Amino acid sequence: MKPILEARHLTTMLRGRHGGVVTAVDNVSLSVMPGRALALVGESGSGKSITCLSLLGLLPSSGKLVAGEVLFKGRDLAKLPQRELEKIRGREIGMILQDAMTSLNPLLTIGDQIGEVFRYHQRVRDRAELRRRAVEVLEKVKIPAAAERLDSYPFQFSGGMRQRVSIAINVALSPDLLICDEPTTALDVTVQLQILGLLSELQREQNMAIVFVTHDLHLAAQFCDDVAIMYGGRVVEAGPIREVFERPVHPYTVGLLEALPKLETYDRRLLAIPGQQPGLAEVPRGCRFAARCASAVAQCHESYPDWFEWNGGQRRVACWLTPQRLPEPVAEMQQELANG
Amino acid sequence: MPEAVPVATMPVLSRRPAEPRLELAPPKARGRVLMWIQLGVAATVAVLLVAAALFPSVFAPYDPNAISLAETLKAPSAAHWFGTDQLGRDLLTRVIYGSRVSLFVAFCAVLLAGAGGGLFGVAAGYLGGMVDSIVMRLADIQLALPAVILALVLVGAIGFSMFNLIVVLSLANWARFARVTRSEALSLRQRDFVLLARLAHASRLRIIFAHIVPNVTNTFIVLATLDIGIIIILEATLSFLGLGVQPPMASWGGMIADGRGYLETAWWICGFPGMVLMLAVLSANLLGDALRDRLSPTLSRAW
Amino acid sequence: MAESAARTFMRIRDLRKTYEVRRGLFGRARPLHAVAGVSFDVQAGTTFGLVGESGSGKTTIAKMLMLAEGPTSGSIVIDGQDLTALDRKQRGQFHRELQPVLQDPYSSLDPRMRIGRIIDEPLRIHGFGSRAAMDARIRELLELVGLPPDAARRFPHELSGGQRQRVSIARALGLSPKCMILDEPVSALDVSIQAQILNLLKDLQGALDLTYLLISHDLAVVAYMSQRIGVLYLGEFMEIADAREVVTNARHPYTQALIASVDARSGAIDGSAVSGEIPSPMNPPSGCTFHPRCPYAQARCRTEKPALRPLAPAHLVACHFAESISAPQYPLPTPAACMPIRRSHALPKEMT
Repeated sequence: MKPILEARHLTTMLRGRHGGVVTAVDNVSLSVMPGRALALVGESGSGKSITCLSLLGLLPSSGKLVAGEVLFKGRDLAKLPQRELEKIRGREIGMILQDAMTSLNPLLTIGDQIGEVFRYHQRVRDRAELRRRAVEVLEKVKIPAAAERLDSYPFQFSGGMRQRVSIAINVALSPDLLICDEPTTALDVTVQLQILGLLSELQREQNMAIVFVTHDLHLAAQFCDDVAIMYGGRVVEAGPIREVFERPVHPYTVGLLEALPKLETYDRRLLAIPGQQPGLAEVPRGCRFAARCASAVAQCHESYPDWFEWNGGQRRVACWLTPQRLPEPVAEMQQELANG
Repeated sequence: MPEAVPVATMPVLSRRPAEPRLELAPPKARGRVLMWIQLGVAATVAVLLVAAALFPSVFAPYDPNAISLAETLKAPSAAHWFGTDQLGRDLLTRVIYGSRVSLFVAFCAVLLAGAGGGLFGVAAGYLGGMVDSIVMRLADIQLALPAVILALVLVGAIGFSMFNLIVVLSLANWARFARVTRSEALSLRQRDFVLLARLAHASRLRIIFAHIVPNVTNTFIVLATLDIGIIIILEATLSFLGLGVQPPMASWGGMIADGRGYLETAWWICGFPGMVLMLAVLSANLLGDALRDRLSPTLSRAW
Repeated sequence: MAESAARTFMRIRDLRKTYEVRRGLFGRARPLHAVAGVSFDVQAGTTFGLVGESGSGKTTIAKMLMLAEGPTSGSIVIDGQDLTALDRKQRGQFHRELQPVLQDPYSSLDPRMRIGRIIDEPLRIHGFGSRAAMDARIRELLELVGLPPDAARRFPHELSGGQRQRVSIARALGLSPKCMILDEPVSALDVSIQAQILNLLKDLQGALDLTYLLISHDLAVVAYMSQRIGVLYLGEFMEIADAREVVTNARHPYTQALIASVDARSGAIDGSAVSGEIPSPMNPPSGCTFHPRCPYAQARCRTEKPALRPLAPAHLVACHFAESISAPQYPLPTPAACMPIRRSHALPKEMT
């Protein structure tokens, strides 16, 4: 099955405030399968949000996508002019940002804002038709009394409702891909689950692929199918999420999972990753995580690790120590192949 | 979700080298060259002016009050770069000595207005209540009266002198500072470190001087620098109207007033003081803008 | 934990806080019951965790215990002393016993002050001693929280979020408090740093015999740190129990919803049990405040407010049907199912 979105060797540079340039996204490659949700997980400064913006061509003026391609349905989004990208965004690719309050226009009613989607992308002019479609879309996202709420303004809604409206606007035209950047972080925990449940349902109905940027590993585990873990602007590990979280290989992934407070290990001491992330401006010669890695060897400090992949390239890790750290089934099979 | 790795798909461990880091020259920032030129020019002018004001005898070729009836109304020449006025005094010298007055008065007035208005504003913002109401009403009054009228009235009331002039200019100007520092203090009051200081039983005075004031200084510096230009013009206006520094002391405003009658014949009597005045104000404004750009990013980075 | 030697350090009874809120320019002032009667005990040397979302009142309770605000009614007895009976000055003395650590590491430190001065501000205010004594104390505190001694000369913007939070902790420890009020101390930090700070807090608790009141919306963090947990919703307790009870045998539907959000195996995404949003505290629902969103709600829940009653000696639940609602159906796994990675554990000391 071909991926619906394939990003290859994306490299984005950002100009810092005092003129310095950092590489916020360093050779990131991702592939998103149709109908599946990819979690892009990392801590602050890992480059996950910038990667998102790079995919959509929405970088701020201080940033520039200097290399790489973003293949979507056969076209390279990185090479398209903004005009073309605008036609794709909203219709074939939806995007949901963290704070719905800033992505909704406070001066327009939500009916108007949803109507804009149909007016711009499908050239619908008839007002009654626009209203009808808007109600339909609001009902899809389970906003009660949709018809009456068409004439409300964003500030009259709660955070969760606004996020639903934002989702409604973006799935109105049944896009093939939805890109979400921390869509539930600002919401209460119980509402987060509802929104994710809604997204899950929409995903199944419309066979929509999702890229889900988050720092919340619990949510990612519940909601997504695949995961790419980012550190220091690079992807360090990727694969199906259950596998990565249950049998992590890269020391950073291991460290992250061990440092995460979990109910099932509530009475066991957390193993914290010592030290802290180096700034993006510091570029060590070798693996970026080596300075904090308990398993690092000399080679880790000298050159950036090769990719080790298995399962048809679905599962990949960038760590020199991968051969010694393989999950057991894979290690056994390696052994078998080597022997016979 | 795939559980174990199925035996059918080849779980062979393949390996490929990591993508090399791109070492690209970063895209050149365009607007910054202009900014540096602006800054350079402004700083140079400012330094020159201040130097001339501090060490006039080094820069001025003549005595500012030396009258020479033989040399009246001479056009700019090698001997008199700025020409001479109706009493034969060298204009360059008088402009330089005039700068002493203008810059000194402006500096003091801005400091006085800034410190006074700034403190009032901080008190109003942090303490709120009655203090806030009183200070803000006073500020409203000051802002409602045009500066020149206010200055006129005050000078008329307390008479001429350099000191009075400074006081008058401060009184006509403090509300601007008060407003700004008040709003800064209001937002600072909400911040956690102020709450923590309160919880630690720091006295209000301590909080204001140890926490609020230092965090307001950045904005204050920017505002003060921008204000210097305004005060210079205000002082020049007063001198122009005869209410500022009295002759024969040189002052830019006074010189412009003197030159009014000779605009067609000896334009340089008005012209050069006016140009230098403009340069001074312009450089103060440019410096203020540059400071704002410089200090604001640090502000948000530090916070 | 040291339950046997425990004495009650904090006794809160029927604590209430009501604000008068005026809607619009001419509206009548209406009461907002931010905290609607909470009672709990905290044993010395232990951590009591308050869990809740927005509108739950946890921050208001924290503020009252930090002595930033006074309660509308109710009693707060700390170390035998009833705070509400003291006058302002006397209450001020208590702030030395109860030190706060706040959520935002970027707002908690004065950006224009050096770290050393930030830490010794409380010391200076209280006349701790000579300059030399204070400097020695600063060095001691920095070491206690895992920061190098030269950090005292730095400015906050030179430190990372985790390091700033360490500074906040060091400052709070300056006057040797008996109790720390931790208001979302790690919510603004990355996962890998969270663990460092949580472990630091745990170690300090053991070393200095501190009592903690931990406020958070993250049940996993609270379960890790606390011996006893109270679940708040709209200003009231829904459930209070020991940590183990809450994790394995939560009986209130709201607690179960919170558990579902942090448990990957709950499968809560499909068929999420809790519907709707948190109602405004100004308009709490009748009867049980949770009933509009509760998957088990019956008619009785709408009319009759459930009391917080003991299901077991130390397990209080505010639900009519607590006995019949079963706990979430997944047991705690055996250790083998958790991350089995062979590695050497020579963890280096904290670096700057």
